This record gives sequence, structure tokens and C-alpha cells, in this order.
Amino acid sequence: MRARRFGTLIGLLLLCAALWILTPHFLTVSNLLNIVQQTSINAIVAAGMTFVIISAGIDLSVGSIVAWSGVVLGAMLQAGQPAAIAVPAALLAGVGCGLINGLLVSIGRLPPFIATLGMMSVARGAALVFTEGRPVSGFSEGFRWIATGSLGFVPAPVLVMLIVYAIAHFALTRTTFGRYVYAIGGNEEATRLSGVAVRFHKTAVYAVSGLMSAVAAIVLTARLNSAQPIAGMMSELDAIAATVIGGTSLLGGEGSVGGTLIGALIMGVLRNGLNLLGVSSFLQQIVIGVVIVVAVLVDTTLKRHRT
Amino acid sequence: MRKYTVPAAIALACVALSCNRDTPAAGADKKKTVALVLKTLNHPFFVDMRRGAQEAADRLGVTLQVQAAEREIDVDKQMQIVENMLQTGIDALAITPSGSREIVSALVKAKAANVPILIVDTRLDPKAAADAGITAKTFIGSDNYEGGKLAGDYVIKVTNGKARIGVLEGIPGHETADSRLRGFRDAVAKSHGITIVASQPANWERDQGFNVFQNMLQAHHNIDTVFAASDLMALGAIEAIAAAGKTGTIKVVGFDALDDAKKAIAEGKMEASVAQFPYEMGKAAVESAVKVLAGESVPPDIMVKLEMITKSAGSR
Amino acid sequence: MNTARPVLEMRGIRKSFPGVVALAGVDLTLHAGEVHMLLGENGAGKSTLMKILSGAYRKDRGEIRIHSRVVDITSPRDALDLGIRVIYQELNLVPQLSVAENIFLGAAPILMPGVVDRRRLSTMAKTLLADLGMNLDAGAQLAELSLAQRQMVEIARALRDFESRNTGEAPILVMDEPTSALTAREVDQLFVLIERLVANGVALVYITHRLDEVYRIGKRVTVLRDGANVATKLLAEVTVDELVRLMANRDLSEQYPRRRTVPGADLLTVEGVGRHDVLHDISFTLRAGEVVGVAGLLGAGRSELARVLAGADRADTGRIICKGQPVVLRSPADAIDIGIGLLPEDRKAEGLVAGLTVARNVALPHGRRLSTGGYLRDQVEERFAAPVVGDLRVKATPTQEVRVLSGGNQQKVVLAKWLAGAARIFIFDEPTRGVDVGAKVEIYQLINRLTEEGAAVLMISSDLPELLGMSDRILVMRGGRIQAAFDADQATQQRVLSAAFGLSGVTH
Repeated sequence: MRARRFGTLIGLLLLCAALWILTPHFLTVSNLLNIVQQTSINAIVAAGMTFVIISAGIDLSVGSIVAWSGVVLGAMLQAGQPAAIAVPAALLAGVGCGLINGLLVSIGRLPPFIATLGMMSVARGAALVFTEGRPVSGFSEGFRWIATGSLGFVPAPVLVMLIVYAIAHFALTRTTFGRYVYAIGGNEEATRLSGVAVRFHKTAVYAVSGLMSAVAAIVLTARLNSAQPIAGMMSELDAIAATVIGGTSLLGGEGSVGGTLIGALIMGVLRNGLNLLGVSSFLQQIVIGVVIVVAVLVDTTLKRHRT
Repeated sequence: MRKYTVPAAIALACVALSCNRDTPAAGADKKKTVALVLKTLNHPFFVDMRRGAQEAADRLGVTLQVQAAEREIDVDKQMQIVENMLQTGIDALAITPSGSREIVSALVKAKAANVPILIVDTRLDPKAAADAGITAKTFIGSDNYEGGKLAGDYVIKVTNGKARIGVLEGIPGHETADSRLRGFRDAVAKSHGITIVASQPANWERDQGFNVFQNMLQAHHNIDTVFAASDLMALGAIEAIAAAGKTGTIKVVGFDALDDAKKAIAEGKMEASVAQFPYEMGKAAVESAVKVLAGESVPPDIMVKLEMITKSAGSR
Repeated sequence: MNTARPVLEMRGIRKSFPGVVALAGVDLTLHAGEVHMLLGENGAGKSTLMKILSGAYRKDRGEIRIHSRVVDITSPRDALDLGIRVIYQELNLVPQLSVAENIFLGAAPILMPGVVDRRRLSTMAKTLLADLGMNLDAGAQLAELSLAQRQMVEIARALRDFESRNTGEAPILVMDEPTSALTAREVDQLFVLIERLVANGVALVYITHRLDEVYRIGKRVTVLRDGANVATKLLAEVTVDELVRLMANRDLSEQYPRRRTVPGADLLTVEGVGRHDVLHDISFTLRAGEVVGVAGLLGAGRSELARVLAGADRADTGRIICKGQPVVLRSPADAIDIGIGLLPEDRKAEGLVAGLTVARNVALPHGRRLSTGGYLRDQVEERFAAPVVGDLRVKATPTQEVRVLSGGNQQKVVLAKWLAGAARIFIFDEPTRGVDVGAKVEIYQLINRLTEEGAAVLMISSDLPELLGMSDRILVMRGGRIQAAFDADQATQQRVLSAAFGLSGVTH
């Protein structure tokens, strides 16, 4: 597992080296700060996705939960509520959706793909109904600090991302919850027979994913200075891609948020580099698609060789 | 061994990327670089705009960099593109904002880098721009409100002031969609014989235009005129009309004058379409950018003409 | 048919798997028009022999002749080409297709490439079913049929296959416990069908655990034990008692080092426990320091009993009493709380998380106790697991992933999970299956140690000598019930097997 993460890191460094050779604009402080900032939203969503995928599930609803939590946040801010109330409300909105996903999977015994596919549609619809399809905007400077501010030279979204990753890494490696997530993903029945409350922890995993989506929604809303009901469309695919490139197995039971962060950075660097080089958006899609497929190909090939 | 497989994949991507690289901007010839950031490139409107811009750039001897998000509605991606292009040291930025308010945060960075901003096709939200202290050098576009009015006046003319209209709207909350719709409504409101019996969004898409209008026809058999805020939706409606066996009995008026729409007008399946001239917009954007870079003044609004394309008027 | 010339001769067949010799030179001769019974305990080598015949395994040594020709069966395809068909317990049919489509799967009549001639398919299927005297609707979807009916479809398909080969030579059909899921009436129907097949020249090998069936349809019998031939006889010349002795007779050697202790207090009492179709009225008591063995055939309800006691499945009726207190086992956590630990039969599917380290597997049931408010470091788990892993002589470090360990070591890791905790009642479901001889003895010694320390062991095993050698008492299950119970000194292989086969019932 460790060797694999190391490999992904080398991949990222090689990519950076290639871009450094190809364009003088890549390796500048401001560009690197741009990249981490642009990566932060996908990275935060992908952190939650990593929990779900390690538990051998999938969450297709993250993009819609981003939109839903975002419009809840936007509406409250616009109605004059302070951020200290609106932000927790948005987090609650995200966790709520995640909880429903989790209960459908654990108690309802629905396949995660189906449960979250349903939520993907419901949360998106709720966001559109709630806003009548229009973006909500007009927020205070104080709130917008989450996107525009910085601590020292670290931009605020990056700070949020780092905090999220520190907590996620701690949870996965230093808590019983983390142990159970890996165990459930590795062998759910054996974990149940070991007396672990499997349903509870599976539900919690989807709640974590919902929470992360809500955190991402807060950063995104501050960045756009607007909460859009159409925000986060297809971002579930970006999050899954970052997770998988980062070495988390779609079969469950193994992976790490550290890997996912590198995966998200690889995607961010790739997009940034392609922009800097003036590659058209069509070709960008091809390159990104190839990277995802090759990364997973490598993953499954390694697994075949091991067993 | 396993350590090197992922890097190999990345290296592959790098090769792909270096092959497809445009001519390097960093040249010794000191050619100025104009960036044109579009909403998307999978719509004929923006493809035409790029062609116009390229023509002007070649003529005036500047380098043109064109980038666009994968999807028209993805403001965040568009912002990232602006940020990334600023890193390459562009000299001027022409942009068709995917979100009138949202894009402002990215433009603040352009301003900080002293890159002049030109807005094309979709206006900035005046309040958001003013709050952030952003002033565009110019706006190049055609007035969507006027276009909507043009369509409304035309409908009054061809129906002698008597019509039952179904409207297909664009994405709600979209500046372009709202303006076209307002212009159209204001125009037909003058005529008492005209009623809008149904008005629903079909989100700029052809297949949604088909579905939404098919449902509309189910609910309102006596619709005799359609106004679609874009030709793609109008073309969808025409197919729905054909499916209902009513071709020729319902007048369809669209917007954008796409090639397919012009063909439908020539075949008599469609009544008319408001023509915008994205090619002209792209051309004017680069021409204005060059002027700004040369220190010349440009007017705050450069309005590109609008035209009603009908069977008798023919195409341009 | 010429009965003098056998249809099939297998001579000196040997097959070994890593650490185990499954077949040590087995012979089998089969004639056209006979039903040949193949008997033996679980693990005697019957299935391995038939898998070699059907091409699923390759023999290490030995010779197979079919119609006197030496043949080399290297794949299932070869076996089919030679006219050998096996009707497995888990049927190889497509539930979504009709009876006719299943019978003609891969050989359906066509109108043009890719288009099935449905009308001809239907008539052909109807003709075949009528010839076989099967009362089945050719158009019915397979999923709607009973298990017995599906079995008939499978047989019909095998015969269709033989017919299409059209060589005029007698085909070989193998049935592996075909009646295990059938009702008495369905069994009657099956036997009528078998008689008809045999009359038509089919040579049939029939594997069963039901001795009554052996005499109803069998002509000759071959008994295997420990991968070797014990006898081949005409059934008219052998009694049931002799058959049982032939199957089981083996010296109880010193390989079972059971040290018996005086039983202590009652640890667990089970009273009238039942679970819908699988368990009925189960009652027994486990005392400190004793090993209670559970014998029975496959499907007798032994593993189901283990799962109920481990909290994996819930009992519908009855009571479970632990230390004088009635307890309700709603989940595995409840069972663990009262000190019950389960070594499941399928350790890969139910006992271990293969991708996790040894330490994490061992610590898995003890997360709450090891952590402080959910905080748990790798080092704590490793320190927790290390002593017991060392104690059990698991050949692995606590930080190794379990997937790379051998079967015996994996089994020890499952044991370590419970030993590391406060378990007092151990349920071992087939603890030595797939484990090499050396590791087996280690497991037996461990059972001794556990009972000396006052724990109780419920040991489910299909290895009769092991069960007799290690248990203080033996419960024999059949059909989800306890058919008989014996004290160690009264239990013999013959008595236990007779009870397991339902030939006698001595309940204490």
C-alpha cells in the first residue's frame, strides 16, 4: 500500500517536471498557489469519497449534495443570517443527505450505486426547486474570506482542505472508526461476525461523505460569490477519479486519503498544465480520461499479480 | 517495478500533451497575446466566434489563445481557466462570462495583473462588477433584449396580431435567456390578440425542446406559434410538431440563426430566426483588444447588428 | 450391451494437493447398464475422483480407459466429448431461460445464424421429455420450477447431449448426491427415471450419504476411505453394518492427544432452540473444561447451530442460558459480550479480512476495549496482538497482511482473535479442514490448553476420527435436530455414522 502511494507521488512529481520543461509559467509561486486552490474543492469532496470507496461503496450524489448544501447556505446568508448560523446549517444539510444514503444502504440494503443515484437526482431537484433554478448571491466580505482570504501565504480554501485532510487521515489511521471502515470494505461478513456494528459504521461513512460535500459547497459558494443549484454537476466523477488515481481500490478495503490528495493534485496539475499550454478543452478531456483509465489499469494489474 | 507504472502513465499523458501544444507563446518576436475565454466550444455559436477572432488576430498580427470549459454552465472551470491563462502572461482578456456575477472574482485577478478586460456576448452583473471595482474596456455583443423584441414584433406582423403562443425558455437565471424573454414579452404585450398560453424552460437543449414542446402541445392543442429562445430548442420543437403531424400549421420563431435553422426556414418548416453574428463579435473583440493595447480608446458598447432571417429575406 | 467389456476403467488414480494426498491410487470399474454406488466419508476422495473423471482436475498418475481405449482427460471439454456428464448439486442451468432453451443450450435449432427456430426447439424438447417420461412443460421458465424439476431438466440436457453425439457407445452419467434436497415423492420419481436410463444402457455412478438409497437402486458399490479403495462388492453380498464398517473403520491413533479434565460449572445451556427450516428443538449444555463434538452430514444443521450461537443468525424459539442468566443473542456483539468466539467453517469469507494486517484482524473484535474514546494507534493493536500471535506460533509478524499467510496460519489468526479477548466458549466449525497435519496437532493441543484453563469447546467436524479422538461427548445432528448423543466412551464410528445416516437414534 505504501509503495503504491509512493508511486503515485513520483507520478505527480514527474508530471510537474514535464510541465516545468514544457512551459516557463508552470513553476511559479503564484501558479502553484492557483493549482492547490483550484484543486481544493475536488479534493475535499474526494476525501469523503475515499471513506465510501474504502468501505466498498460508492457515492454518486456528492455533486448534488454540493449544490443542495450550497443553496441552503446561500439562502440563509441572503436572508441576513450570520455565517455562524448559515455554515452549520449547510453542514447539516449535507450530513442529512449522507445519512439518508447511509440508511438506505445499511438498513434498506440497497446497492450503494442505486441509493446514491437516487439521492443524486433528489438533492439536485431539491436545490432547483428551492431556488426556482436561479443562483443565490450577495454575501458579506466576511463570509467570502473562506475563498479570498489567506493565512500567511496559504490561501483559505487550501487551509480548509489541509484541515479536512488532517482530520480524515487521523480518522482513518488512528481511530476504531477508521479500522472498521477498512474492515467492512475488506470483508463485511467477517467484520460483522467480529462484533462490529457494521450498519452503524456504514451509515456513518455516507454521512461523512455528505459532510465533506457540504464543506466543499461552502468553499465553492464563497469562491463564486453565488450559490448555484447547478453547481457540482459531474463532480462525483472527478472525486471518484481522484480517489482511484490515488490508489484506493474500487473493490474496497484499501486506500488512503493521502493518496487521494495526490490523485486530486494530479488532476489539478494536469488541467492547469493543459490550460497553460493552450490545449483545447476537447483534448484535455482525452488526456484526463487516459490518465484515469491507465491508473485503474495499473491498480487492477497489480492486484492480479498479488493474488 | 510497481513504483514506475503510474509515472509511466503520466509520462504518456505528457507526450500527448506536448504533441498537441500550440505554437509557444513565449517567442522573441514580442507578439502580443490576446486570450479569448469562451463558455464552451461545443456550440456552433462559439465556434463561429472563435473563427472571427482568429481571422482578426491573423490580420492584425497578434497571437490568439482560445480556451473554454467543457460545459457551458461550469463557471468554476471558467474561473480556473482565467487564472491559469493569467499565469502565461497574456496581454488582454476577452471573455464570454458563464456566470455574470460569479466570474467577477476571477476578473479581479486580471485587474491585479493589469490585463485589460473585454466582455463579449453576456454582460457582467453591474452591481457585482462595481463592488469589485471591475470596469471592462468594452462590451461587444448584440442586445438580447432587442433581439427578443425583434422576434416579438415579427410575430405580431405575420399573425396580424392574433396568436396563441408557446414559449421555450433558456436556463432560468441566465442573463441571455432572461433578456431575450423579456424583449419578446414586452413586444407582444402591445397586441391584445396575442396570448402566451404556456412558457417553460428547455435549458437551451434540442432534445429538451422536443420533450417540453410535445408536452405543451398535449396540454394546449390550439398553440399556433412557438417562440424558442434558441434555435436548438426551436429545432427540437419542429421535430415535436412533425411527430404530431402538424408540420406547417405552427409557426416557429427561433434565435441564433444556426445553419440547421436556416435550412429549416428554407424548407418552410420554420418561420424565422433572429440572427446574431458571433463571427462579427469575435472579430470585434480582437480588434478592440488590439486598439486597447495600442492605447487607443474604444467605445464602452460595441453593438453587433441583429437581423431577422426569414424565407423571403433569405440568408445573409 | 456387452457387460464383459467395461464402459469405464480407472486404474491407480493418484492426486495430491499441497500438503494433502487426496487419492492414493484408486480403481473404479463401471459397466453399461449398472448403477454403481460410490461411498465414503466426507473427504474420502469421492468428489476428487469424479472431478478427475469430468476434467475439472487433472490426475497426477494412473490410467483411464473408456470402452477399452486409453484416454487423456485434460479439460471439461474432453470429458464431454467422451460422453461423460456430471449432474452437480449446484445445477448449471440458466434460471431466466425456458426448460426447452436450457435443454438445448448451445445446440438450439436455428432458422438462420443468430435466430433460434422456436417452434422446432419446442417440439424437440417435448419429444425428449415425453421419451424420458418427464411431466414437464417445455415452455415454463426454469426459475418457476422446483429443485427436483430443475434436476430433471439437467438430466434431460445431459441425455440430449449424448443423443447428439450419436456414437452408439454407452454414455457415463455421474450424480453427486442428487436427492439431498428432494422430497420422498420426488426421490421416487428420480429413481424411476434412473431405472429407465439404465435400461437404455447408461452407465451411472451414484454418490450418496443415504445408505437406504444404496440398496434401492444400486447394483455394485465401491467404498473409498482416505483416498484409497476399501472394497468393491455386489450389494447383494454386503450388509449395511458391513458397509458402515468399511467406510469408517480406522485405528484411532495417537494423533489425537486429548487430555480429558473433570467438567466444571455449566457455561452455556441451550434449551429447545429452533430457527425456521434449519434448526429444531436443539438442547444441550456446555460445561467448563469439556469438548463437545458435533457430528452429522453436510446440511444436517451443524453450521447453522454455530451461527445461531455466535449471534450471526437469530433463533426463533428456545432459550440460551449463560451463567444462570437467560441471554438474547441479537448480534455477534452480544455473543462476544458473553464470551463466545466462533471459528467459522469458511475462514476466508467469514473469519478474516484478508487485506488487513494480522494485528488489525486480531484486534478487530476488541476495538472498543483497546481504544480510548475511539482513538486507536497501530502500536496498541500490535502490542495487543503480539503475545497471542507468538503464543500460537503464527508464522507471521503482526504487521503482515493476512492474505499472504498459509491456511494453517490464517486459522491460527482467527483463533488469536478470540484468545486475545475474554472468550470462554469456543465454537470450532471444521477447525482442521484444509490444514496440514502438523498444524492440526497444534490445534488439538490448543484445545487441550483451553479446556484445562476452564473454557468449553463446541467442535463441529466431518472428520469422524478427529471428533471421536478429541470430544468428551458427541452430539449427532440430522435434519436440523439432535439425532443422538454419546459419551466419549460409548461413541464408536459405527454408532455415530448410523445415527448420522438416520439408521438409529439413541437420545440421552
